[in-house]
Amino acid sequence: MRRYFLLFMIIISLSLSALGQTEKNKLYIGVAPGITINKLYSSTGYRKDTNYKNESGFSFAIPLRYEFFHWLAVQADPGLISKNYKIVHNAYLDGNTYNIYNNAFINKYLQLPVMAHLSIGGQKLRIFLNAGGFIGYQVGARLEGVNIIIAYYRYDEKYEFDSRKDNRFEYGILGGLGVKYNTKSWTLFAEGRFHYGLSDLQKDYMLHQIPRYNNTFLIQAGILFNFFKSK
Amino acid sequence: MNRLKIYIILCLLTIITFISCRKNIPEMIPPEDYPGNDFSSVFESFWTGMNHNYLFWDIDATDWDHVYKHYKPLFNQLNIKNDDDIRKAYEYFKEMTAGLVDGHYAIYFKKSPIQNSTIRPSFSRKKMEKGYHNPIPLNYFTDKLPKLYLNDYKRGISETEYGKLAAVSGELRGDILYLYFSNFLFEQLASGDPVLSVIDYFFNSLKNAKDFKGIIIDVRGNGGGNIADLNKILSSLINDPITIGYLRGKMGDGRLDYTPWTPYTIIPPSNAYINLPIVALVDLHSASSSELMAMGVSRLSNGYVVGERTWGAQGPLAENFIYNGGQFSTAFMELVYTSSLMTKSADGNIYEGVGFPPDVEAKYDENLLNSDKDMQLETAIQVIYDHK
Repeated sequence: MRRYFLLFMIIISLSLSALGQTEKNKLYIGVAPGITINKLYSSTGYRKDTNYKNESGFSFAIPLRYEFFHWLAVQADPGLISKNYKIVHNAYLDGNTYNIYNNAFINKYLQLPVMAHLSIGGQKLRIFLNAGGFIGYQVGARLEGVNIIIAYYRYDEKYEFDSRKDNRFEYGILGGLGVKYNTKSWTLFAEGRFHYGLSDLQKDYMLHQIPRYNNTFLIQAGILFNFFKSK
Repeated sequence: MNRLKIYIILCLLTIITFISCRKNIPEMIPPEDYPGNDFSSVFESFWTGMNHNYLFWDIDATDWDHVYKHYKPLFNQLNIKNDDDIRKAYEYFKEMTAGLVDGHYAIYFKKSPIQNSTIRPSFSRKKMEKGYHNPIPLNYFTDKLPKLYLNDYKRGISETEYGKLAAVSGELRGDILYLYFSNFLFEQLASGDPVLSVIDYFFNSLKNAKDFKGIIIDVRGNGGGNIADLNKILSSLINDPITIGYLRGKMGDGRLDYTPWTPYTIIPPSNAYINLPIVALVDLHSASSSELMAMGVSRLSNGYVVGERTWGAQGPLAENFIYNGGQFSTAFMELVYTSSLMTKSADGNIYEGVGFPPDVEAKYDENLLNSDKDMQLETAIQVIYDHK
């Protein structure tokens, strides 16, 4: 699966490059901060009052856009992105509810999205659609929360990856919709983008494993500068 | 613009293709909800229950996937209406759990003819170990030991729903405060209970601790109980909080999904610091809370653990729904008794299955004990005299 996905990414990049031989091409580079909301696609099965919950985070990317035509470009957004989620478990005992744990997984990924950038509209104000894929590597994680395993305990600690279980490599597809404002030398844009993870966050280390995937919604805004022009 | 449409269509087709690439989430059935009307279902319910609820996969050498592949076809050949096949199933369960590291682990069955048979992997292994001995009889502590070693003492015995409980406390050789109790279950006893009155006697004697040269807390043969009792005893000996170890539970249904290690800290209710040598006297039958007691005493600058390496069953137990792990039942099994939490000692080691080691080793010697010489207790006494 991973191999097919990489092939798909390469084909997107090459086919878009092949298209852009006839007009004046433009290379843009910029910055794009954003916020994320991540939802874990998984299951807690029959566990009573145990739920995964969405968690917000941040992102920062350095978009690179190579424009073939005014309506078509290829874009890569290398950057750092949070894909956080929570697991919450309550237990009812003697008529009282106890929050046994409320744990946030704060996950940071170094990510490379590559996408086709299609746009329609006027010379300056245009609506665009991004579609492509991404690969990422989980560079760090933290555990934040509280539990009452033995007594009330609040923690915020580095998560030590378990090489038997944790799959730190991630890939998936993405789609985004946004609006941009062009001038001769820069472009302002705002975009909502959805990342659909296709790789299980765990290695296949046990039979009857419950898979886990990230679904990440990103809202970002940024600016791109037309530093270089090519024929 | 036509090219744009083609690109959009291509993108949508690609997205639809990739969306279907995720693995399916398997249905999770609670172990107790499997019908259990054939051995295929009996095996699946047990294996899956263990797969999602057993705490020690992190350190356990049992290859649970191999167990599935090897035993599933064997169980499929068994007939649940045949008594010989039920006995064979018992043997299979015994084989597949033989190496489980959980010192508490036990399987109790519902079905005749094995309803009175229990599988205890830890006990089976211990019996084979060199130096294994039976527990010292309860009446040694309640009758013989006080006569041999205690000058002034109080003794209490209670018949409870948990069985016979006993406690003894007194002055050992006139200058050591001694406490023995058979289980950590005294907090649940009614006021005025003979065992509870012994515990109260011990706490009252602690108020005059300066009259003593040391304290011996004898948990030989003590199989554990409620950690509230452990907290009560340990907290009476300190004036600053001590972290005796760390606990963690399951945080997800994966074998290696754990909560963070959570400090198990004993907090003293008042300034009750005992500046005397304190000995936890343990043997290989000291289990569960007794081992946590040993871990706690070993953390004290004036604490010593004397005796034998303990049993190796340090994971606390609770109902499954509290920590989403640990004990469960199936249609075929009355109870799969297993820890709900995993314990790590403050020294960073996990002693589950291997036992907590003593600071000063004193082996059980049956011949000397029968000759009225309790070498383990006498070693504890010597440790106090040497360190006073």
